[in-house]
Amino acid sequence: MADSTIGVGILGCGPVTQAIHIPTIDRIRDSVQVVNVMDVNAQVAEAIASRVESRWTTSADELIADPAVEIVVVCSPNKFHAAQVIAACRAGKKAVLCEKPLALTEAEAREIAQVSAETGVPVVVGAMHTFDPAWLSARAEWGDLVETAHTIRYSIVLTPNTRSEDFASEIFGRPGARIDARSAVDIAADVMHGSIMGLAIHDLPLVRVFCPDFTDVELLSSQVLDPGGYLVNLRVGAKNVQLYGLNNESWRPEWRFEAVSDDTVMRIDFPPPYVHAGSGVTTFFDGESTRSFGPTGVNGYEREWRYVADLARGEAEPLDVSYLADDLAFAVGIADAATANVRARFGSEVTA
Amino acid sequence: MTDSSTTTDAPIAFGVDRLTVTSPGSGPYGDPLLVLASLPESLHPVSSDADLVGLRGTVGWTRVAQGALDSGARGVVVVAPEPVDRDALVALADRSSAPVVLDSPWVHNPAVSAAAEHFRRLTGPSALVEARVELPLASDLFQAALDQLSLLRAAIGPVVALRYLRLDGRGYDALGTLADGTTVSLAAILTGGLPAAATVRLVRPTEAVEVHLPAPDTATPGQAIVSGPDGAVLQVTKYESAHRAAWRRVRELVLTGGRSDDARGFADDLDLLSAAVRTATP
Repeated sequence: MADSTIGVGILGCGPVTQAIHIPTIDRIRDSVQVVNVMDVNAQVAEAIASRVESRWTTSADELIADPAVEIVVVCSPNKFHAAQVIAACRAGKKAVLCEKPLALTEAEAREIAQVSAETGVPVVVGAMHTFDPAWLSARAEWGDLVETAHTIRYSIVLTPNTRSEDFASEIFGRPGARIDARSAVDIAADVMHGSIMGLAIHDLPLVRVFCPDFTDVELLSSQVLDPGGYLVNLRVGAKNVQLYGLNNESWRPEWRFEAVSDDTVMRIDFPPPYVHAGSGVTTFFDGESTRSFGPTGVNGYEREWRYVADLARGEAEPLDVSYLADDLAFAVGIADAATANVRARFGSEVTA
Repeated sequence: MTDSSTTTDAPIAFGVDRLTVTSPGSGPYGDPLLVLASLPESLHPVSSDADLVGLRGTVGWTRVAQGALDSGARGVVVVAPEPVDRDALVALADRSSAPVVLDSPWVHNPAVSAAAEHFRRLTGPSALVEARVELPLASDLFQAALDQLSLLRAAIGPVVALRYLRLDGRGYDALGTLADGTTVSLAAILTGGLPAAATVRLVRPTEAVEVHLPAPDTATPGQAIVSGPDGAVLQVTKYESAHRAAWRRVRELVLTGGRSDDARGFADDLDLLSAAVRTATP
């Protein structure tokens, strides 16, 4: 490890770590290097450590206590996120990168914000599209669209994650399918909640930017889609919002965010996750002309990691973690409302 | 014989079976019949006593269409049909021995018929159909929904239940179902940012079908794409306006003795939509 590189420790060595973070870290190996990895499965931890030539452990506490670990990456199951982020802050690390979601509840997220403020340890959520050059171009070019947009559409149709993971890496110890003994309504409810907090959550921060009245949310409908996905209609303040996400086996991936006003349509098309396929493309339509930005060769993952490295070196302004907590609260509110509606309407016609 | 297709690919016969066409003057029902210039061997404009009558679908159009049939027209094309009295529609549907083709804005784009077979093959409880239209500001949203229901009927099948989630000055979102239980999401978005267009997409676990339709005024082609585990196929792209396809359809129906279910379907869609609007909240 060169003197100038910053040591990274990763909690959780599942597909996200293997297919996203390790290949991305390798892209900026001049500034960061994995020095320790942790997984509850020792075989997985050892295998991933052998790839990056780092130490490994099955103990999160041990990794966090490792003085060579300056940046902690939290890729563990969601229920551990808050405690591990807080522990990393308390340990005085230089930065913490937490995969989505930051926490399970708003209260947890607020506590993280408080601890981050107390300790001065910057916290970043791995919402890669907020770092994507397409989104940054959009922000620079959208003018008053946040105020004038009346309709927000956020649509994801993706091939199974495993397909993208297998293009991005060679996954060791992929988790097996869950054996389900739950009732149909419980499964439907879990699919809805899990889909919002696992898939929709990627760009809910983008949606929230366009919804200044983000605490005023009315659920208009929520449906679980086969084989796993969601269709959710919302009124957020004065904005009409639709969230749609589905995994299917066809070869027509779509990851699109749209904001529509009376005179402008902004459309951002992102590449599929996991793979390093460059940035998204932002296009503005104004009825007379079309302006387009991107793609560039750098995607959101790489931008995110360069930002985290800059943070750790003290060369970047930290994010407002309270803002990240607001993002989490927005997502949890939608997930909870959509899930409650799925339970309440289970088995009834969609038009009832 | 009843046709279920929206357009055909029958070869154009040169100089044979040319049908004459007229329109009821320059009043509210008069249609300029500009499309006939693109079908000079098949159709020929005359001032009266024509085989076919083309009229605009402004309020009360059923009376004009009925009058044309009573006067001996062998077929009628109604361009951009607006809502009308249901009983008059049903009477037209029941009485007509000659085809009445409703040239609803999106229905006759050749991409619709190219996708229809695939749409119908893939519907079912595991499928979701999304229908979306982008329309100019201040567009009539009842008309927009009626046109969207006509498109769905032509592409996939009739929507049999409908519930508005939102209906306001910016558009609408609604949920519907097809007869086999397929869920349909319908949306209209009003904006000046994009030209008028319609999209229908069906996604199910292993396959997807989508059709993108431009405004019907030009021959800008629609696109139909069918995709599955083996890849995606763009169906043959046809630079034919929806209007022209509608006229080819009525001509073929007349020459083959076919009938059209358009008026009956329009009446059913009108019923469904009227009921949904009554329960809609802004």
